[in-house]
Amino acid sequence: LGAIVLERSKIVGRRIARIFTCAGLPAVCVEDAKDLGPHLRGASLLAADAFDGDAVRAALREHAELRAALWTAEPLDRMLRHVMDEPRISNVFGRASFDTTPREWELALVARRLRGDLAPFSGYLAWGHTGFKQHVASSAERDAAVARVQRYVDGLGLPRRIAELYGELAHELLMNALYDAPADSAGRPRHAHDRKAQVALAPEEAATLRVACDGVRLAIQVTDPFGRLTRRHVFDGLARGLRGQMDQSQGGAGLGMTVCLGATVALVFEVARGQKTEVTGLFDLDLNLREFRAQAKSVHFFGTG
Amino acid sequence: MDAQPAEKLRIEKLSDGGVTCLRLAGTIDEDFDGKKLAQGIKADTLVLDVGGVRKISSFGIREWVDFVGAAGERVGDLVLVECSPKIIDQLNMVLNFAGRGRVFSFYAPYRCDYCDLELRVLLQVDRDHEAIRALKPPDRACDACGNPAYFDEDPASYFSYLAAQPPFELDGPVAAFLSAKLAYTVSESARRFRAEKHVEGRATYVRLSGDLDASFPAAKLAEGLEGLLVVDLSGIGKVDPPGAAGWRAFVAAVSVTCEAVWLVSCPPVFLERLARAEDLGKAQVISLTIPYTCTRCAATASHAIDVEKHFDVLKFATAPEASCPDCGAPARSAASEALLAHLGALSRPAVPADVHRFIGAARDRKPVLPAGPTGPQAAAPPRSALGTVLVASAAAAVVAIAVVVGWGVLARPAARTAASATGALVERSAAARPAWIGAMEPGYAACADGACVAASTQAADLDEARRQAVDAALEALAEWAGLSPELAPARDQYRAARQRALGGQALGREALEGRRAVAEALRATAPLAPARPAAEYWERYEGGTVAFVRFEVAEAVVAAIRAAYTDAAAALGARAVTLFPGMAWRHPGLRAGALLVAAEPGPLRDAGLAAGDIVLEVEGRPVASGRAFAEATEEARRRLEAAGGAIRLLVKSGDGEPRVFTVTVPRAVRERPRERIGGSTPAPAGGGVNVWDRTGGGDVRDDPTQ
Repeated sequence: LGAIVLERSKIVGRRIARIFTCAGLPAVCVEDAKDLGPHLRGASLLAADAFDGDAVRAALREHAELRAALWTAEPLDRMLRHVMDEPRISNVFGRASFDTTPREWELALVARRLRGDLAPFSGYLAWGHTGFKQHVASSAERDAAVARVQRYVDGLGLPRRIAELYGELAHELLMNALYDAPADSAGRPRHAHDRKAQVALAPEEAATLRVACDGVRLAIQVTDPFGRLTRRHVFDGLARGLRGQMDQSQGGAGLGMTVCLGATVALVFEVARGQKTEVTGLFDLDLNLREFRAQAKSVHFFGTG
Repeated sequence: MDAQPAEKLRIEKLSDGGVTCLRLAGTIDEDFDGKKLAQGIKADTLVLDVGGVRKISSFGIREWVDFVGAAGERVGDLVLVECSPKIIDQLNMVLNFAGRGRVFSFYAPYRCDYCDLELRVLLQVDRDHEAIRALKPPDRACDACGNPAYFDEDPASYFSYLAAQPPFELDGPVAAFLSAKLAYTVSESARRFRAEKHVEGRATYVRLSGDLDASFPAAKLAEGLEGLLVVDLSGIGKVDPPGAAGWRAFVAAVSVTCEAVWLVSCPPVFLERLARAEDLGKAQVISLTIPYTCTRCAATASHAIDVEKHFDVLKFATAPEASCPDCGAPARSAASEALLAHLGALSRPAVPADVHRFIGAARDRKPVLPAGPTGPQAAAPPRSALGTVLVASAAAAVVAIAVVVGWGVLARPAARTAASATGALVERSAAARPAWIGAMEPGYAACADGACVAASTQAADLDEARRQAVDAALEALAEWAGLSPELAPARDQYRAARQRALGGQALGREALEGRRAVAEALRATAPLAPARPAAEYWERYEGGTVAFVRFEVAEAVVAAIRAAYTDAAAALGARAVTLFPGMAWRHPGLRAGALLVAAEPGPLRDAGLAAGDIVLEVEGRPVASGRAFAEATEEARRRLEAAGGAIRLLVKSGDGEPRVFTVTVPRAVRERPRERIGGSTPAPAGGGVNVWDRTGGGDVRDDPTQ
């Protein structure tokens, strides 16, 4: 296993390579796309700025075993075409500017995940985090859980708008877990067609909500035992939502992904087909809302589908 | 375990006249039923106060879009006010989130990290448009420390939707409703006092809107007012002491110059401060509004109260019973004590039926915009009007019916306009033809969009030309008013005569005399018809003079005139309407009368009268309307019923000369009243109950709701 870091800023490239290497993915740095050739054979990951997206896709066409990740300092919709057209690009890192490194924990996450390691919820946060975990199996429990998330964030002394943002995110993720995820034996959605109905799932079908904060990062994670979320659903939903368009064909509004992205700096999807869908959203508390809005967002999809 | 969350979304509904305001606060999610909420909306303008919306789920967005879509189709205008940052997020993110709506005001979020305070600044698209377009939020100091707070959003993102929306101002009535009744912030210009005046015949309708403050131009407004005056106060916002003083001066002035002054749609804010005798002078309150809150759905709506109808309740300083316009449940009065206290001091108004009709029609008339084209240009070009007919007909059958009828008045005279004036132009009343004349040819007449224009033929002198032009314009007005399906039978009776007179290449004596007869009939039966043209112009050629006139006639007045000819009154088994002026085409000598539209079995039919007959006199007294016929006949019947007798009617039946019909009134057979145990006098069956009788007429207050 090895990674190629294509980054025009030498210092940034070296830093990224160092993080990859420390995470168990030895990396080399390349400053120009035309120098990629000698390094591609045997590499498992090519990581670059979305500016070089076309070169990255050309390399992917040449090397069937290669995967790619892109980083960007711009709004997600400007580079989403690369992800939609190329199924082997499933990781997008947002970064503050063209001279900054993507978030270190995200780089490490991708490197470790490529090695086959699964990230525990605690892995998204520093060691000193606290939080809560709750099972949610019904519409009534959903509302109570959303209220609890909001109270928890309020209790951290954060601005009210952030608490509301997270309440909204919790509601969205739980709606997906309770209404979109459950399916019958034929794979047909059981509850997606009627979002107003009161839903009560069996205990083993319940969603698991985790919320925690280490003082710098606020994380929320919702897991369901169905594993039905697909890569296409995630990225198509984002592309459509970022254009402001709804899709009512699945019973909802088709804006859930966009709402989730709008409340986080990074969204991580971990899907084990038929077994588990785990969605983790993270918020950087060192950003005020103004900076947060201008921040490029990250999306990572791991799994099959 | 955590307690259940509180109510997610609170919706408050407040209505006043054509304006409804919905206040939403909380979370919009799957529990929000947008379509259902929209179904209950009945308003000209829907104002959505979304300042309290803090969260929206993705499914909530779908419901919301459904809501604004459905609501937008049910209202004329949709305005979003005090949009919260969450709403602005959605406007920026979701296409069509506002539907047809426009954002008037919204909150910009600010924050002071030092004090840990969140602050908001309300921005308006009219007042703050430049700042919004420049993506520069205004400075805001922290309430606690006084240091500058920072704008807690990315300006480029936050203002992206609003920067693209053109600025606009709220309509006067909407602004008045929001500022005066709901204490919303609206622009100064929207609250500025405005007066709109319509003069039709002897009646003047003045619609006031905005704040009644020091800017109220009492003397200027009163200047020239005479005859019958109706003041519409529905748009009045706040009333301050200088404004109240100005109002009293206005009332004092018009009480001298006007025969009668009536106030309509008086809002609570006005009545609470200006309903004493010294405030009203000669003025009588015809109608007022009282807020009611539904006991079931909690919607608060202003109900229009007819003072005459509810006088026996209002005189006890009590609000009449009302039901919720939305759900039909009983509504309880939300009037202030001050308002209720003034209700009892109001006098019972005496309003003639014609004035009632005039008010009804004028009230429906939309306020005149300060700028924009007016009617004459639309009325003048005849050929394009005909083209419109064809296009409309091809477009949609149902719509085309209305359009064809609406343009019929334009198209028909245009097709037979007389030849152009002959001879060289010798003199004219102005250096150039006014724009409203356009290419109008001699003999042309048409009405549309609030104006009737006409040109004379080439007449021997200016007086005759002017007379012809006025007659032609008024005849066109009568035709315009006659475009009601109810008047179609009458029009059928004279259509052939009119076509014969006006259909030739040149207008002859028959056409000119017919127009004069119809114009005179209109003047005799429609007091609201305008007496004098608003504009005149003439041209003298070697071959004669051509005069052009333009009458301004609001569509509301046309509707009122039309209503006067379709308002049927019944007597002795027959129903009659006021003779339609167009009938003068068929009966040139007729100017006024009552046209029988139905004759059921009864004394009139027994005497040989039938539908289509025109009653000219009852017992020697001329009757000029259906109502006059009914009153005169009923009066004669009452006079004769004790001993029996006959009523003499002068009737024009068919094309022959009028003749006298004798209607026999049989002697009434009186039943002996049944004896009642206890012997008290029974209450009259048909109303007129004296409520004091029930309490013995003493000092016990009766039930004011009876």
